[in-house]
Amino acid sequence: MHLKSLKNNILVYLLAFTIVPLFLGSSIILYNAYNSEKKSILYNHTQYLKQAKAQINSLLEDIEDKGKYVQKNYLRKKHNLVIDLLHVSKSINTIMILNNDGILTDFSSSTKDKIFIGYDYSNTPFFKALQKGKKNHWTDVYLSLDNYTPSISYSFRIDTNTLAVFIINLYSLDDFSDKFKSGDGSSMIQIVDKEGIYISHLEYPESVYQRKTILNTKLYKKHIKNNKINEQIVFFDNQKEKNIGVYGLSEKLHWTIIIKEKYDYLFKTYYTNLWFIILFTLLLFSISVYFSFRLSKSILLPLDLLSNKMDDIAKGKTIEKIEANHYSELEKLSHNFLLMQKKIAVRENENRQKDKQIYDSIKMAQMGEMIGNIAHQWRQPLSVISTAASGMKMQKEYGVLEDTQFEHCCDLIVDSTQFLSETIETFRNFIKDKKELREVILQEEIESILKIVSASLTNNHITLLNKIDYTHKINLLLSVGELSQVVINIINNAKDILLEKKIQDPLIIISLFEDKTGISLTIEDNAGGVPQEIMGKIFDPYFTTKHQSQGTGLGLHMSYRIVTESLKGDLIVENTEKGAKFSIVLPLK
Amino acid sequence: MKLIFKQLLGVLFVLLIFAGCENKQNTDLKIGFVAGLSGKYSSLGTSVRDGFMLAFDEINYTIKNQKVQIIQKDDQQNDEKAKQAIEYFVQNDIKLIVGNTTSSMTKVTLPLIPKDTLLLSATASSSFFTKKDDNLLRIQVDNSSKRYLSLAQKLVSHGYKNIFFIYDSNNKAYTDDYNYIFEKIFITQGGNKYTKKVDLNNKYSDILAQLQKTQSDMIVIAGNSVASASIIQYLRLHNIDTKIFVSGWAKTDDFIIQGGKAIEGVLFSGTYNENSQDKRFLEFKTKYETKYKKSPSIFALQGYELAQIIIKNLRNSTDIQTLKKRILTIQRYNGLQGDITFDKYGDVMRDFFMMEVKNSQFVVMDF
Repeated sequence: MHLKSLKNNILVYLLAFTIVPLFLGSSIILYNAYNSEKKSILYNHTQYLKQAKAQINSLLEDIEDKGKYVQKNYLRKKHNLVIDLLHVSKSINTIMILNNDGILTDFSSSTKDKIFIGYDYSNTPFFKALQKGKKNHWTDVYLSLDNYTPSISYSFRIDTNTLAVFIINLYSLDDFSDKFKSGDGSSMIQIVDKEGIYISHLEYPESVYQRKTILNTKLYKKHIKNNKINEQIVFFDNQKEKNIGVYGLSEKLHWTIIIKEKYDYLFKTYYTNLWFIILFTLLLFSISVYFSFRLSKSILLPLDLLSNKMDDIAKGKTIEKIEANHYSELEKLSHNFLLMQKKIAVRENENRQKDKQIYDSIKMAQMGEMIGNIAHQWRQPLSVISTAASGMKMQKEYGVLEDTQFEHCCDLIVDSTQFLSETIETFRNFIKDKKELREVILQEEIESILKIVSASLTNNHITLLNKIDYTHKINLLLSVGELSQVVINIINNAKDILLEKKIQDPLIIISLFEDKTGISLTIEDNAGGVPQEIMGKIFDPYFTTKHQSQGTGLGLHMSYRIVTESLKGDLIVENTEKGAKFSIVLPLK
Repeated sequence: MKLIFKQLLGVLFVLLIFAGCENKQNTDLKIGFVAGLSGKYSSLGTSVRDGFMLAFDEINYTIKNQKVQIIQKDDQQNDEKAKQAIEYFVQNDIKLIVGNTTSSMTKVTLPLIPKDTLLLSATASSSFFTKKDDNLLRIQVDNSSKRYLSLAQKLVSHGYKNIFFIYDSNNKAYTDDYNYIFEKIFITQGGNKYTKKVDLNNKYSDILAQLQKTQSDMIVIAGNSVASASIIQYLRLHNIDTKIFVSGWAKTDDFIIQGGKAIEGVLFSGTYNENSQDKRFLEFKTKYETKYKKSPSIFALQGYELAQIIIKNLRNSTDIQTLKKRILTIQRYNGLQGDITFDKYGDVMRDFFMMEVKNSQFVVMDF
C-alpha cells in the first residue's frame, strides 16, 4: 500500500483551510459587489428609458397636436397657417399640402430650393399610406428631397381632397438626445426606427446621416434580435468599446430606444475596489502561506525528531533523552516513549531470565534422561561384573576356582568395565560436542545415537527396527550433538507413549534416505498417532500431553527450533496407519 | 513539499495565461469601405453599402476563422473627404478598399492608393479607368464606346437627333463620358451636336430657360437619383414633354419615390433588370427585403456581387497582394443576373438593354 506523507497532508490541509476560505470569501464579496453595481445601473437605466419613452411620446404627440391644429384651421387660414406653424415648430422642417392626386398645392420649408408647387408626391410612402385609408401616418427614415437629409414625416388628411405632410428633420432630435448624457460626457441614448435605421445617435452622428442600420451590429444580433427588452445588456459597439445598458420600445411608433453607458466608466470604482481586494487577498494569501509553513515546520520538526529517535530505538540503541520541545502533547509523547523504552528493557531482562530457567530445566530433563539411559546401559555389564566377581569369590571359598574359570571371569570383568568406559565416553561426547560442527558420515552418527537409547528400549521390550540404508554413505557438515538431542527426544517421546498406551508389540522404526529435495530421517512408532486436535500445537512451547511431573512441554519445541533454526531444515509430523511419524528433513548442503 | 510548490506555481501559471489571453486580440481582416453615404449622393452609396454588408452578414463577418471588420468612411462626394478617407485607410494599414461609388471620387482616390493596396469599385463606370493596368478592379461595366455606340444608334434610329444635356458637375469623371465621348459617337451615328450642356446644380428656372431656347427632341440627364427626379418633375411641371433619357447613376428607388408620375416614360440603359426572374437574383431580393424592408436597387445588387467575388477569393487566401491576380485568373463569376466576365485589365463585359419607367417601375423595353 502506498503510504501518504503525514507532513504533506498537514501542509495541504493547512493551506486548504486558509486559502480556500480566503478566496471563497473574497470571490463572494466581489461577486455580490458586482451584482449590486449591475442592479443599481439597471435601475438607473430603466428610469432613463422610461423618461426617454415619455419624452419621445410627448414630442410625437406635440407634432400630432400641431397636425390637429392644421386639420382644423388650414382650410380657413390657408398658406399663412403653414408659414406661422413652421416658425414656431423647431422640429418641423417642411410642411406640405397635397391634393388627392399627391400634387403639391401649398408648402412652407426652411429649404425652399428644390420644392415647387405642382410636384408629384404620389409615389411617396406617406401619400400611399393615406391613400390606403389611413387617417394619419408616420414614415420610417427616408432621404428627403427638400434638403437631402434623412428625415421622417407625419402625414394626415385635412379633408377628403386635401392632405398635409410634416417633414421632420432628424437633427431636430439631437436636442432631445443631448439631455441624456453619461457622467463621462458621452451620449447615453440611441434611437432607431422600426426597420432598424438610426434616428438619433449623438455618439456617432454619421450613423444617422448615412442612414445606417442597426441590423448589422452585435447589439442587434445578440440582444435586440433575441428580444431582450428591458433586460440588462452588455455589448461592444463598432469601436469595440464595451457598453452596458437596457433597451425598450416606444409604444407609438415602435422605435427602439437604447440607453447605454461605457462599461469601463461605470465600473471604474468597482475595478478600483476589485484591484484593492485582489491585492489584499494576495497579501493575505502570502501571509497564510508563510504561517502555514511556519506552523507545519514547528509541528513537524519535533515529529521528525521523535521519528528519528524511534528509528534509533528500533535499531537497538538506548536513548537517554529526547530534546525538549514547546508542545505539551509532544513532550508527553516523548516522555512516554522514554518510559516505554525503559519498560521494554525491563521486560527483555525478565525474558532473558525466563529463557535461562527454561534452558536449565531442559538441561536437567536431558540429564535425567541421560542418567536413565546410562542406568539402562550399565545394568547388564554391572550385573556381569557382579556375577563374575561373586562367582569367583564363592568358588575360591569352596576351593573350586580353577585358573581357566578365573581367567574367564577376569576377562568378563575387564570386557564389562571396558564397555562401561566406552559408554561414559559416548555420553561425554554427546554432552560436550553439542554445537560443534563436524564433517561426519550421517549413518555412523545415527548408529552412535541409537546405541544410547537401545538399552532403554530393549529393557522396555520395545523393538527398534533399523531401516537405515548403509550402502550409500551420506557426508554432512553438522552439529552432531544437536541432531542427537532431537533424535533422542523423539525416540524417548515414542517410548513414553508406547509404554503409556501399553501397546502390544511396541515398535519404533527408524529410516534414512536421500533424494533431490534433501535428507530425510524418519522416526515412526505404532502408538496410534497424534490426535488431530493437537496436531497443530505439538511444537508450541509448554504444550504437553504427559503428566506435569513427567513433561516440561519444551522437548518438541526445542527440537523444532534446533531443526529449523540451527540445522536449517524442517521437522514434520504426520500420522501413519499405526502411529506417528516424525521426519527430520535436512538440506543437502 | 516540492509537489505542493509545483502545484501552486502551476495554478499561478494558468491564471497568468488566462490573464494574458484576455488582453490578446485576434487580428481582424480589415476592409475599408468608402462611398457617398450622406447627403444628396447618398442614395447610391448607401445602396452599395447595404448590398455589400448583406453578403458579409451572411457569413457572419468571418472568413477562414478570421473576423472581417468593415470600416466605413463617407466621402460626401467631396474631394477632400475622399482623400481623408483613403489617408485613414493607408495609415491604418488597410490593404483592401471598396469604393468609391462615383467615378469622380474614384478618380480622386485612385492616385492615392499605394501599390500594395487594391481598390475595388462596384459602380465606378467612367471610361477614364478603362484599359488601364492599375490597382483598381470594378464590376460596373464601363462607359465604353461600344456601349455608347449601341445607345446612339437606338436613339438616332428612333428619330432623336437633338439632345439637350444636363449633367452633374460634381461627378465630372462620370458625366464627362456623356459630355464628350457619347456626343462624339452620337454625331457619328447621325445625331447632331448637343443643343446645350447645362449643369444640374444650376437654378432649375435657368435650366428651363436654356432648354426652351433650343429645339431639342431628347433630354439626356447624367445625375443622381433625387436630383434627376427633381429636375424631371420641374420640367414636366413646366409642360416640357420632351423624351428624357437618364444615366444609370439615377436608377434607384429614390428616383421612383421622388419622381411621382413625372418620370413615367423616362428611358434608361443598363445591364440589370429589377424585374428579373433569375433564381439567384430572386433569392438575393428576398434576403435583402427581409433584412432592409425595401427593394434592392441595382447598386445594392452590385455591392452584393462585389462582396461575393471578394469572399470567394479571400476564402482561398487572405493575401491581398495577390488578390487582383487571383480574381482575374478566375475571370468568370456567377452574377445575380448572368455571368460577370473580367478582361485582363479588370474591366467587366456585360450585355446592355434599354429600360423605361412604367407604372413607377423600371421595365425592360424593346427599343
